[in-house]
Amino acid sequence: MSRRRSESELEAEFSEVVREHQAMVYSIGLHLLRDAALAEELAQDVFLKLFENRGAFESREHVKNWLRRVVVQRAIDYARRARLRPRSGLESAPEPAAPAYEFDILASGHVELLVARLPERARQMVVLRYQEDLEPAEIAELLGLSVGAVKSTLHRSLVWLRTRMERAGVTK
Amino acid sequence: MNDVERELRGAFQRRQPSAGFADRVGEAVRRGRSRKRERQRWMAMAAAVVVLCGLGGGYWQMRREARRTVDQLNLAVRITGEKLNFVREAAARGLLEKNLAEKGFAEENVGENNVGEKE
Amino acid sequence: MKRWILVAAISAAAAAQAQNIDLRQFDNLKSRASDTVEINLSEPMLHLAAGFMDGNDPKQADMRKMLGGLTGVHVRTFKFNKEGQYSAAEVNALRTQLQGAGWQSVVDVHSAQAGANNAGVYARTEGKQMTGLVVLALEPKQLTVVDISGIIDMTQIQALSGKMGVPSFNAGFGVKAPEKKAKE
Repeated sequence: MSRRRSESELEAEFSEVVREHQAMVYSIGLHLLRDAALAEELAQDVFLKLFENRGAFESREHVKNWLRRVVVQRAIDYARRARLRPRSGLESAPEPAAPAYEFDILASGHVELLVARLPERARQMVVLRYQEDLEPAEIAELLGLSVGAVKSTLHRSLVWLRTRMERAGVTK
Repeated sequence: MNDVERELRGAFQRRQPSAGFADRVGEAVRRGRSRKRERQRWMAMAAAVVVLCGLGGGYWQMRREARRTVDQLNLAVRITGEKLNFVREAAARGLLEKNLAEKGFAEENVGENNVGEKE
Repeated sequence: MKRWILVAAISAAAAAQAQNIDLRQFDNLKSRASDTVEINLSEPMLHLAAGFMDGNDPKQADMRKMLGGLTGVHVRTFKFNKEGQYSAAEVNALRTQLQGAGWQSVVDVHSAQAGANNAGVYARTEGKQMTGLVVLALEPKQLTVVDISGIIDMTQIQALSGKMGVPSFNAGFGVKAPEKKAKE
């Protein structure tokens, strides 16, 4: 962005960037925070930050990688503030009163609920691997960890998930 | 692990935020930029009016109070919306976990010792 | 270091007139909270705000419509640095206030387990009108109470979803006058 743009040109270009990446940013937030409203707030926050830093990017790929890094980092802060950590077990699950309406239970609710029980780091890795199709080396760079740690955590997460999914009848 | 990975890929497909998201982001950007300009404009105007119209203070004060109230109201609506979603999520989580319990999924917590990273 | 954000304060007597529940019971939480948000908007303040809104702006027009019948909007949010800063007894005292005539519990997620989330939506109806709405969100380190009184139309509140910086939300808890069908 080396030449001076008019405000409307800048806003139009930024809007295009938002539309291109909004699903990615929102979905990472949604799967890490398990809260649609919070995920939207997080996504908006991240894009505003992107706008503030708009002079620092060299390519679309640079923008994408930056967005992934920031949304994961910010999700940690949001989760801490909102206290959305994994539940401590079914015995602590609240006894809901009968609601006055029917919920739309997500078709993939069981899988996502199981993933929500993973520790925060493991959950981040699972989301980055299976939503964003990142390789362990890319995940390691994004999270500032060793490749070995990522591979090990992913493997153990899959073993854990497989057992629970089979028990719940989600997989055979 | 192929079946598990398939389930995970299916569950973690990207989703779009609610309609108009990009527009809201654009508005937030414009608001941020115009807020700064507006603050400077308001200060200049307020200073001019106070000097020129000795009796103008009452109206401007009421206007300032009204603007403050609108901001407070927006915050209240925002908090209300967030917490309505929170209630839905909490109840949905309770229902899902009840469903899982009925399927024999009596779950212990995944502690850091079970699935964790090795640094 | 504690940070207390006092957004608006009016005299306690005036504030109490348009509240469904007595929020003074939470005053002692301020000293334990790291952050507090306190909003007290009486009927005159709501009318003042509505009067300064631009009726030609569709978004502000939605807000104006919503404000039309309200007599009070009160919010308390307390954030704590650690768990256990408020007790089950304090929460139950609040719930007791919502068991009077006309009140119905629309959603009540209630766990006695320490560290679990509790939440609820409560509505008061008088004839065909909803005249009170209380939203409770009880998290291990945060407590939020929203108290709205007046003639409340949830469709007007829902119309604000996703606008003016308000995140998208779904207010459709089927909160309604008794004879109407619940809707999402």
